[in-house]
Amino acid sequence: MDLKKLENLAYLARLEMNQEQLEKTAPNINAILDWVAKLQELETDNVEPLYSTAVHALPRRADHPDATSYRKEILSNAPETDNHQAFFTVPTVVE
Amino acid sequence: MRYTIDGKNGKWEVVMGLEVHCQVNSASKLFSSSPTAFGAEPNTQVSYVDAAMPGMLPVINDWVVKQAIRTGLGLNAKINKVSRFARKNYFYPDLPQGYQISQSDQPIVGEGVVEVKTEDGGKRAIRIERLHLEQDAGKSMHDQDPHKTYVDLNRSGTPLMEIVSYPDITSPDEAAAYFKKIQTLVRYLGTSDGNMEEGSMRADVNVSVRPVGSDELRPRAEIKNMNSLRFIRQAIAYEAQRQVDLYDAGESPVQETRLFNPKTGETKSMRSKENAADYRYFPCPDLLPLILDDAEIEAIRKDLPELPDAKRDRFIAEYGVSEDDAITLSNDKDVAHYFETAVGREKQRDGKMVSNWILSELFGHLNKENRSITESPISAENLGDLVDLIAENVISGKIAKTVFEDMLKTNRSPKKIVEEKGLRQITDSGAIEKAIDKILSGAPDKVAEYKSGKVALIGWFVGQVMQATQGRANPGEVNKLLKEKLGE
Repeated sequence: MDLKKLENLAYLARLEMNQEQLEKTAPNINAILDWVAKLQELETDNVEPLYSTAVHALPRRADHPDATSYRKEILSNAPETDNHQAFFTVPTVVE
Repeated sequence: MRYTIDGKNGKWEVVMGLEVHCQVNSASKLFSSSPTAFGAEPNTQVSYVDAAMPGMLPVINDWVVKQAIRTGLGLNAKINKVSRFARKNYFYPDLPQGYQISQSDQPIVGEGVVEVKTEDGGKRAIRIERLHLEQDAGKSMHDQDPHKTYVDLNRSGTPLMEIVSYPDITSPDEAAAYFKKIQTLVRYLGTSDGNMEEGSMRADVNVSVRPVGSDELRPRAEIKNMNSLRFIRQAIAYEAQRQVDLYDAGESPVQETRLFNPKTGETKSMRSKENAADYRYFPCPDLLPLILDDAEIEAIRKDLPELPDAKRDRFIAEYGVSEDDAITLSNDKDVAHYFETAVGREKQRDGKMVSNWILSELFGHLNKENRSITESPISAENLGDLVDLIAENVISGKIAKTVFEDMLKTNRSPKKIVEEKGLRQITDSGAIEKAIDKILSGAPDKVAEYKSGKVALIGWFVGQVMQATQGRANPGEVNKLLKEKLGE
């Protein structure tokens, strides 16, 4: 993991990191990667990938709608809303 | 006929794959109980799960799972008994989670195939790569305020089926036909309303070009969020030409996401997306594997309706209608139902005749009024009765059109109209003879001309008799009697 890759990763995660932080973090990340690389030495050709230690299948719910509006509660956490308190508002996103 | 583009150094062909997104017709969302109804007040259908409040956990909607299986079976596809959910990570204001829950390497439905009819009447099999379930994002509105983007999360978490085709599509028309086919299919199955205007169905189109005869796959452009057949055709034609022009200029297209602008008919690159395309998929730790058993899949298979292709073939075999007519009749479930009701289960009227009345007369009227078949002023039963009146020689085909016009306006039964207006065909040869005698005696010169060899005048005589009987005389009978009398 060089600094350039780390910088891109930070961008994808929307983390703002200055040069000093990048330089400090890179060796830590590399240590983690080395450790994972060590794990990869294990022979796993005949082992099914394990995504979860839970053995149950995914529980499902019935298709019953709950028509309660939580708009007030949801918007109360928003940094900014429109004048009618109906929308979240954010700085213009231009495509 | 192959769709090709002439380049400087030879012909190019187009290679396309479609990703069609269909909203599942559920009452509530994929992982929460918020309603999915269209047109609600902004942010009133947003649960804490949809707003991605910390600690909220997704619970999958059983109905949606079943609709995905149902659609997969309709696509002649393999249903995967174990599938998994993954997080597709990206940042956008209308995606509160910061990731979309989707399916990556283990989708619920695997490979399948659908058949589309091409312009030249041929048929092509388009292979399906997969169908997976995923959440829709919310909606961003950029035109409400000059400095702000407004976000409505009502759509956030709405269940989508994404149907991905292999790059088997070779022309803009074929792309449109394929899209229509998927739409017809989901409507038959009832798994999505397929409504493009309300955003329940849209497509991303992957377009690349290559020299005719080659089998390579070159860099492709993904044109996002197409919601009209016309735009799909336009965007593909534009984009394919643009790529050929680039190659001609010694350049090469780059793999990228592009947006179609309906106003200019052009596609343009979405800026700064080269980073964003790195979605860093990983298994969603909030969701266990989705396990299906044979019993569930078979129960759904048993419940499948007759699908459009099967219906089309049956209409041809059972009712003798032409292939084109059979396709039109079977493409829309409601039209197919109307047709079969009008033919009648027991009566088994002449399918061709019923089909002609629906496709020319009734459709002519409905299209003019911009109405669908379910809003037809004439019930299928009444149309069937009208066909009976013609078949039983109670009225002629010509009078039937008059009756039909009346039915459009009054909703009345054709029998009633015929009785009340006295439109019953005159089959009594005595009455017809009387009318003929009157015409003949009134036009001795024409009679003489006919007898001297101008036999084409028979048409004029028939016309006169029909006029004298207000079109109610049986034309066959008139013809026969006239010839007898003039031959005397």
